[in-house]
Amino acid sequence: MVHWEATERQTITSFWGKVDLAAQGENSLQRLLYVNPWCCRYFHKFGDLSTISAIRKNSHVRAHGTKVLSALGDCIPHLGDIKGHLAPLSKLHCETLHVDPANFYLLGKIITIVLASHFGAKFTPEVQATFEKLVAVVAAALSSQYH
Amino acid sequence: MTFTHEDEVHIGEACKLLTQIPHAGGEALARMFAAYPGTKSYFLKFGGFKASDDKVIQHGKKVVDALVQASQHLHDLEGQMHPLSVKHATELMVDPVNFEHLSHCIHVTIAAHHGEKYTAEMHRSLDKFLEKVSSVLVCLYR
Repeated sequence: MVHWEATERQTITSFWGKVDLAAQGENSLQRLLYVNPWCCRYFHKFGDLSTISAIRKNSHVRAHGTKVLSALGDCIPHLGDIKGHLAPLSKLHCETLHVDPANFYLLGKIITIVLASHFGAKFTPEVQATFEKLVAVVAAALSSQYH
Repeated sequence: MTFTHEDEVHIGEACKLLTQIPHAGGEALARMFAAYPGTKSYFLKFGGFKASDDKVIQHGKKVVDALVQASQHLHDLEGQMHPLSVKHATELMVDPVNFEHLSHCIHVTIAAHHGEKYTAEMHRSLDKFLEKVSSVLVCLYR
């Protein structure tokens, strides 16, 4: 079980309240697919992802980015047991989606960069450290049911 | 790894954004120390690890200056960075994973100061550059 300081919980809740799930979700997935193009292997159904302009025009990217960031947000009421909360999604990613767990860590880093872009100077080193902890815990939880 | 003409342009743009940030290197280091506390183990003499600490600012400037210098020699990074490769292999011996941590914090620093001006195109090319720089810094380790 992961221990969260009161300040960490407060930081996560107050910053997450100002996240635009569609805008930051889309931005995160766009950057994941463009900066790390091998991640496109999981999204053949999305169609053309071969260039940044194709990725930007792709409506599936916006929809899926929103879905992914919403799922991250849904972990926040369950900070005390993210592993339990994400067990079904972890199973899905292993048994149905067959996603290499390394991608969870990659996406976590991209989300951190996108949050920094959105919040600017308010995204201090201490705030960054809290969100790095959150995305690392989420990535580990999503990996936990792999077999 | 090869750098395309577009990479050269975007790396130049990203380095320009980086150098427009006051004490960018110090901030990137401070972010790394906060998010990855194990990295402090290489800097025990610093005394402090905040972005406002003098030694963090000084070392950060060294790092950014070296990156900007390297960015002007994209087609001979091994040659241009050879003295730094020797230093890291023989004296500093920084675990290679830490270059990824600092590279990530450089992206975060640029994003925090420049928002969407730091485009996906610049992000990708700078990431390629930082990955190559990291591999050059460890290329003499064994």
